[in-house]
Amino acid sequence: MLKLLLALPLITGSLCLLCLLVKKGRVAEFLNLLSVGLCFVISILLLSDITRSGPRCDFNGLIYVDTLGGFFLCLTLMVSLAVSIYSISYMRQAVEKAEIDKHLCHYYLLLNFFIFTMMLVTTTGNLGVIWISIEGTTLVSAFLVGFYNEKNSLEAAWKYLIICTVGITFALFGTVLFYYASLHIPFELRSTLNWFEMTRFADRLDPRLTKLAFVFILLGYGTKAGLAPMHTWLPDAHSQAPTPMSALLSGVLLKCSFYGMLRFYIIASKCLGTAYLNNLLLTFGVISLVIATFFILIQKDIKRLLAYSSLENMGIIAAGVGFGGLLGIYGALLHVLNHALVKSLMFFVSGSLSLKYHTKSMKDVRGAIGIMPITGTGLLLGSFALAGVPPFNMFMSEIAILSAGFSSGKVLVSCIFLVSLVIVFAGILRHTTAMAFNPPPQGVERGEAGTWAILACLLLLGPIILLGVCIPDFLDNILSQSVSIIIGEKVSWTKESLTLMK
Amino acid sequence: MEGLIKEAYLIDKLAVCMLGVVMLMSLCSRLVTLVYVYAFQSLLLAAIAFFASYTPHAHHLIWMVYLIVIVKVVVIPYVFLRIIETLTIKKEVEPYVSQLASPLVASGLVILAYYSQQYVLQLHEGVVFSHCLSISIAVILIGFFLMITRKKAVTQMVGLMTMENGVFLCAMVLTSGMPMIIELGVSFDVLMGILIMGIFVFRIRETFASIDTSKLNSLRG
Repeated sequence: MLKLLLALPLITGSLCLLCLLVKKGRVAEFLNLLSVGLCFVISILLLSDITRSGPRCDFNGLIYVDTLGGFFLCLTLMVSLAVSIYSISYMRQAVEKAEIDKHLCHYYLLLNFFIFTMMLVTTTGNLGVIWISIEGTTLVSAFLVGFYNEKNSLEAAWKYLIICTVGITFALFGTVLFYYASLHIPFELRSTLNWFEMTRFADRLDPRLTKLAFVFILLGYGTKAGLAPMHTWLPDAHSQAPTPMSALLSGVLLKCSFYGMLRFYIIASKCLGTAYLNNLLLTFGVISLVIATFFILIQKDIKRLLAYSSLENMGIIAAGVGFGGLLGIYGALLHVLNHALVKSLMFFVSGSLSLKYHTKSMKDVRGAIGIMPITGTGLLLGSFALAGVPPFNMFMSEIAILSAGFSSGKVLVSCIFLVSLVIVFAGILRHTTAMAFNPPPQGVERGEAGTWAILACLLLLGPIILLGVCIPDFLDNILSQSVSIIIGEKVSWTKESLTLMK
Repeated sequence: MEGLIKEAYLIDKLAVCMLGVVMLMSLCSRLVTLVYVYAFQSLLLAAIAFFASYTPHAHHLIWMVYLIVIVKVVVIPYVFLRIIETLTIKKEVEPYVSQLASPLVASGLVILAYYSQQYVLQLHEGVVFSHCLSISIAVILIGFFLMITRKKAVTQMVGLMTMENGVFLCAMVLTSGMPMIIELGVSFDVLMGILIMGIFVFRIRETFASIDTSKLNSLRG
């Protein structure tokens, strides 16, 4: 099942290449949707199987999926599915309006390879292969960021390519140092960068080297995960890529890189204890949060606003892990899911709006509710969720992380965290309510986005509202198991404490 | 055992040579020279891999020698030279740090690398290994320095590849090579990275009529 899962996007990618030769864009669209949908179903089955019967291991540990990996795998495919549905509508319109001079098949070809590299990140158990696949995501997605082939998008793609590759080189150095730290373990026991084996012998690693190695890992994967101050590529890449790609970059690519970092975090925490690592993560998390807050207030471009909001949310996730404890990590993982859902929705909505109004400037997008009733409502609900208004899903995870912060005794940091959240709340809602309610400009016709775009938005809105009200048992089970993988001990704690807190 | 000491001695000397060559890069202003220096530096890396393959548990490093020679000594410099030739660019213009100050900064970085290794890490693994760790940190830092202070896209790529060489040096000497499949994957990624960056350099040239990356400055805030 796992092999089929990994083979599907590759096969589809090759078929898209064939479609390119015969210029059949519609066929590529259909194939892509079919394959991603199938992958999503398989990944759900796989995850439910893993939560019941334990991790899957294959090819000597090169492929290793446990609940944590499975969670990120499902997340990747869920967003990819939504993106595939939305792409149909968006890319057709973009081609009609001659914004793109390339054939649709190019897009679907790259999209499939991009999805494949992200799936590989989450399904491998080898730290070296994690590096290879994360670098792979950069290489493939650089083409997607520069897809419009204009001045701005080329600039964004070049920045993205260079900054992320440098970052990832530091991560490679970190990986080498981790491997070096494990050389003190006798040769027979020593693993070949196999994550599972390395966690077993983590307490025998050389602590000084592990410290240095983790700093490099954090710098490297942190660059790709969009943590400040290495985030400078992020707003450019997110704003210049075609909108479905922005959703994929923000929704899952950042998280995949964060996932890579988490794997190292687990090993390092067994060797060093959590205090040192948590302080590092917390510092980067809070810096990201504060920097993003200021930029959110002054943004004029809707996609850049959303990009800085991604920066903010990656800060929240890093801080959640940094506050530590069951609640902090549970909240961080929940926030990973919530942010992916909400941010994809917001990008979809903003993409539909900017196609309608022919601009990305928030000043010129007015009266969205009147002109596009469903998309406008999506914009409003999505921005409520993004700002952390109860009873939407992001409120739940933010409050969990915040209470983890206060209960861990880091009051000052928690206060900074809280103040930033409040400012972001005001910043986002100020922009989006104006976009939704102000009187519409002359000359924009009433009319909805394409059916597929609306379908994608509705599919995302369902879980966003549902997760704000309750956390279903299966999700709770998955999250608790993932938390216990990260903490390294069995977790008997469940969502009841979260409900009590409310 | 005696043979092993001889290999360690050679590796040590070669690593020092490599550091010297990398420092030379901070002096180069002609792009073609820079690429040749890079190729020579990769050749030294291949020689180090060759001698390192005689240490215990490191026989697979002999494959790394072929890989490095093919990818880093032949293919990547060839790609660079083709880019330079097609775009008819000759010199690096006005780097952010002047041609005179660059070697000074590079020496400073070497001192920093040795300092960090001796006083921060305090490893007692035998002279060769700690020496090579310092050298690889220095190579990575100098590569990074080249990347951030030069404006031409090609120079930035060479800087990036130098950083990669530093990591490879560390991987081969300290850990007697990563597992083969990882090394293959990493080399593949590096090669693809360079090709893709090459494609973007051409696109940037077409659109901006220059590959001066300081002109890529319209996206702010």
